[in-house]
Amino acid sequence: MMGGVALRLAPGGAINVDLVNLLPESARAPDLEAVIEKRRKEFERHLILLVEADSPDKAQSAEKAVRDALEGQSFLEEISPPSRAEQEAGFAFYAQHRHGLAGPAMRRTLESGDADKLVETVARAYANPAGFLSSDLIETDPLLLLPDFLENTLPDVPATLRMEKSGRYYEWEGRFYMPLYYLLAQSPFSLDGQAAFSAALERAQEELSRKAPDARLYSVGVARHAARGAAQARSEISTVGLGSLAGVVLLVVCVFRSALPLLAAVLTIGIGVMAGLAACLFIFGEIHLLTLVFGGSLVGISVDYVFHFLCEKTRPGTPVTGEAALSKIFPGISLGLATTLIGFAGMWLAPFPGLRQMAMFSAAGLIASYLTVCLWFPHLPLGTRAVAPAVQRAIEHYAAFWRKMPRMGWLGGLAGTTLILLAGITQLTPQDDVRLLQTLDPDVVAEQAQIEQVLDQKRASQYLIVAGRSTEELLAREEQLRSALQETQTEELLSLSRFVPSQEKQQKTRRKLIGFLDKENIRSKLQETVGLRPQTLSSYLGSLKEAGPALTLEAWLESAASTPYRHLYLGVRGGLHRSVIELRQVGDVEALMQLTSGIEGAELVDTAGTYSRLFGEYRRQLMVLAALSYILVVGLLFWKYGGKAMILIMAPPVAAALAALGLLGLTAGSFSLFHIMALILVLGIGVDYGIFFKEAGAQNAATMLAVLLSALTTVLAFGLLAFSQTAAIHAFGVTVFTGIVAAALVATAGGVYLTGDGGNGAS
Amino acid sequence: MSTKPAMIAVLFAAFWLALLPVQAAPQEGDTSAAIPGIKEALQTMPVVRAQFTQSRHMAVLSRPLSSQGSLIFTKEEGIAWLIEKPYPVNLVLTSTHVSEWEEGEDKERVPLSARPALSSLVSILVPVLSGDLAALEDRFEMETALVEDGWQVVLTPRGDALAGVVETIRLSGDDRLRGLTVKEAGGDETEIRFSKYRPEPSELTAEERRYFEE
Repeated sequence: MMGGVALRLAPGGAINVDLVNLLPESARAPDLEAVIEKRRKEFERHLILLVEADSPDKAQSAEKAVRDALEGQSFLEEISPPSRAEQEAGFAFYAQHRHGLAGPAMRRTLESGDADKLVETVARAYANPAGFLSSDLIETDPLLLLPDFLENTLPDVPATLRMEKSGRYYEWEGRFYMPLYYLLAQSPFSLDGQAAFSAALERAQEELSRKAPDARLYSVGVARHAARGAAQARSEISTVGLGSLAGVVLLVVCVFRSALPLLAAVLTIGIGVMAGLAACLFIFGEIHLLTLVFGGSLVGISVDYVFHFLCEKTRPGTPVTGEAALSKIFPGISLGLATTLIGFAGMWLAPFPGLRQMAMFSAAGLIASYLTVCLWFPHLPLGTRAVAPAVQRAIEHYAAFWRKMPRMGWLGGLAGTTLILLAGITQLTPQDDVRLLQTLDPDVVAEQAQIEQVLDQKRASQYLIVAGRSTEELLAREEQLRSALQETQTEELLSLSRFVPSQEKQQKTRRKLIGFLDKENIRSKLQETVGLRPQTLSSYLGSLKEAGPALTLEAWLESAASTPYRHLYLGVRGGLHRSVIELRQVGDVEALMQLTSGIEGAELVDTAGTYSRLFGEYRRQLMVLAALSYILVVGLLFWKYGGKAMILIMAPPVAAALAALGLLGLTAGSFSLFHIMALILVLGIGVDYGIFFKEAGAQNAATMLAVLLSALTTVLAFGLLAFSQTAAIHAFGVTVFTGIVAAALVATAGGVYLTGDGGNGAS
Repeated sequence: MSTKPAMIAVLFAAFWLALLPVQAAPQEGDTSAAIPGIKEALQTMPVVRAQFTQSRHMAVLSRPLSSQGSLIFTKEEGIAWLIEKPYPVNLVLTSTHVSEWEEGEDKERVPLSARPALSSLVSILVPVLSGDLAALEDRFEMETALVEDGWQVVLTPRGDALAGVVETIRLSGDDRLRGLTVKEAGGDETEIRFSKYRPEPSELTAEERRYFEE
C-alpha cells in the first residue's frame, strides 16, 4: 500500500534505493568528496557478464550470442578490449619516450652506480630464454630497458586466461568461460538503470537459451545488488505494510463489530502514513526505500490512540460522549505520545540520514494520528456498539489469570526469568559492521566471488586518492606513497605513476644511463659480455643525449597507451590534480592509514571500514543515550507519581529491555547500535502502558483492552520487520517485538496489581 | 631517433600476442604421408632427459648468445629447461604455466599466456619431444626429407600469429631429435642442439619431480 502511495506521490523517482544515502556524510573536504562520489557513480555502472560452458568453443559461441543480443542497445555500451592497432600505437608511444623508462630493479642498479652490476643485469636479460629478443629491439634499446619496464608496468595476465588457436578463453576448475564488459547508461539505483539492467540480463539469457542452451550466464556489478536490494525492500514494504494493516482490520472488526470504527482506524492510519511521507519529502526531498520498510511499522503504533479512544467510548455502563471519552484518555495518550517521541528522538540524534528519515516518518505520522484522534474522533459517531462479548470474556479471563496467581509464584518466576536473561546479557558482544545496513544477497555475493576467481580479478574495496598542485607533484607523491605500500602489506593493482614516472624520476634514469654509457670501460664491458657492437652503443648514447621531451601525463592521457587506464586520472578540481591508486589487497589498514596521513595529498578511501568504525562510535554513544533516557523517564515519573507508582510504571520498559537484550544474548550473541536505538523506542512505547493504567485508575478493564490491542498491533508490525533481510531493520523488529511482548505482559500483570483489582470496572 | 615499426611488432608479440584471438589455420596438409617414416624413426620415451646447447645468431651482435644446460620432459608434466651457463636459471613450462627461478630462490610462476614467446616454444617443443609431429600439421606447412643419417623437417607457419615473427623452424634427428633451428623473419637465427639423451629411469625421480611442483 505504502509503496504504491509513495510511487504515485513521487513519479519523478523520489524514492531512493541507494544505500549510501542512508549513511552519514563524511568529514572530507567537499572537493575530495565530490571526486570520490563521481568515481563511485562511475564504478557502479560497470557490469560484467560471464558465460560458462563445458568447452572453449561453446563458451566462445555463447559469448558471441550474448554480444549480438546486446549490440546496439541504447541503455548499455560494451567496453571492448583495445584493438591490435590501438595496442601497437600504445607500444609505439612508450617506445618514443623510452629514454627515461626502466623497471624498478634496473633503476635501483642504475642508482647504485655499480657498473659490474649493470653489465650483469643486462647480460642476464640477454641470456634469459623467457625474454623476447630481436635485432630491431637491440638496435633501439640495447640495454633491453623497455621490455623490462613494460613487464613491470602492464597489469598481470590473469592466471586463468588460456590462449589457443581458436582464441582466448578462461579456464577454471574444468569449466570454460568468456567475459563481456559493459557500462550501463544510467545509475543502477535509478529506475531507468534498473530496468535497463534487467532488460540486458533478460535479453542475454533469452538469446543464450536459444543459441547455446548448455551455457550458463553469470553477472556481477553493483546493479545486481541494487536490483536485489530494491526488490527485497519492495516486497518487505508490502509484507510489513499490508500485514500490519490486515492485522488491524481483523482486530477492529472482531472487537468493535462495526464498520465505522474500522473506517476511523484506516483513516487515522492513512493520515499518519501520508503525514510521514509528506514530512520526509518536505524535509529530505526524497524518501529512502528502507524508510518505507521501517515506516510500515507506523501502521501498528499509530492505531494505538484509536484503540484507546474506542475502548473508552465502548466501555460498558453509562454511555460516554465523545468529548468525555477524549478527556478521559487525553492525559494518558499525550504523555504516551511524548515518551514515544523521545524514543524516536534517539534515532534522530544519530547522524545517519537514513535513521533520521525513519524517525521523521514515524514521529510525523504518529503526531498526525494523535491529532486525528483528538480533533476528529469526538465528533464522529463512533462506539455505538459495545465490545464483542467474547472479547470481554477473554479479557476478564486474562485479568483473572494474573489475579489468581499466587504472589510467591509469579515473583519466583520473575526472579528466575530475570536471572536467565541477565546471563544472556553477559553473552552479548558488539557488532559494528556496515553490512548491517546492506541487503547483500548471499547468492549474488557467491556469484561475484566465483567471477572474481574465474577472471582472476581480485580487487580490494579500499583505494587511495592522491592530490597535487601540478601533475609532477601528483606523480611524485604517488611514487612516494607507492614505495612504502609494501610496509603495510598492501598490494597495488594499478596507478598512474606506474605508467608515467615523474619527470624527476625519468630525468634521473636518463642521466644515470648517460653517465654509465659515457664511460669507455663500461661500453667495452658490455661489448665483451653481451656482444653488443660499438656503433649500437654509441648511437644509443647519442639518442639518450638528444632525447626529446620525457613522457608526460598529458601526452600519455591523449595517447592510445592510456586507453584502458584513463580512469586513474581524476582531473583537476579546486586547483588540485587527483589520481586514484587501485589496490589488489590491503594487509594492515591501520598502517596504511598512518602512511597516508603522513603524505600530503594522500587519502585512503575505505568506505566500509569508515562506516564500521562510525557504527561502533555511535553504538557507544547510543548506549549512554539509552541509559540517560531511562534515567530521565524514571526522574519524570518519580516527580509526577512518586516512588511506588514510578517503579510499577517503569516495570514494563525495564522488563522489555531485559527480555530483548537477554534473548538476544542467548540466541544471536551480538548486538549493534540498531538494537540500542530500538531499546530507546521500546522505552517510549513500553512506558505508555504503565502510564495508561495509572491514568485510567479504577476502570482499567477498558485500559487493559486498549493496552492489549495496542501491544498486539505493535508486536505484529515489528514482528513483521523482524523478517527483513536488512540486518538493521531486522534488529529493530526483533528488539521491539520481544520488548513489547514482555512489556505488555508485565504491564497487564502489573495493571492488575496497580489498582488492586483488575476486573472490577468491567464486571 | 625514430622508432622502428618492427620493434613495436616485437613488443607486441612479446606482451600481447596471447591476448588476441588468432585465426584458425586451414587444415589442409599434403605432407602427412612422409611423417610416418619419421614417427617410426623417432623413439618415444616416457621421460626425455638431454643436454642442450643453444646459440642465437643476431646480426646486431658481434657474436652469438650461447647458453647450455639440461632438459627434462614428460608429456604429463611439461618441460624443465635447466640452464647452467652463462647464468644458472631454471625455467619450467607446463601446459598452463611458466615458472622461473634461480636455485635457492622462490619460484616466480606466471600463466603461460603471459609469455607468448614461450607459449609458442612449448606448442612446438611438446609435439616434437613426444614424437608427435602430426600435431604440428595444422599450424605449419611441413616439408620432410629422410636423409642418410636421419630425417629433417622444415616447418613454415601457416598464417597464424607466428607468421610475422618466425620464417621457418628446421628440425633434424635420427631416433632422437638432434637439432632445432628457428629462423626469424628479420634474419636472426636460434639453433639448439640436443645431446646425451638418458631415457632411464622411465619415471621422474623425486628430485626431478620437484621442478614441476608449484
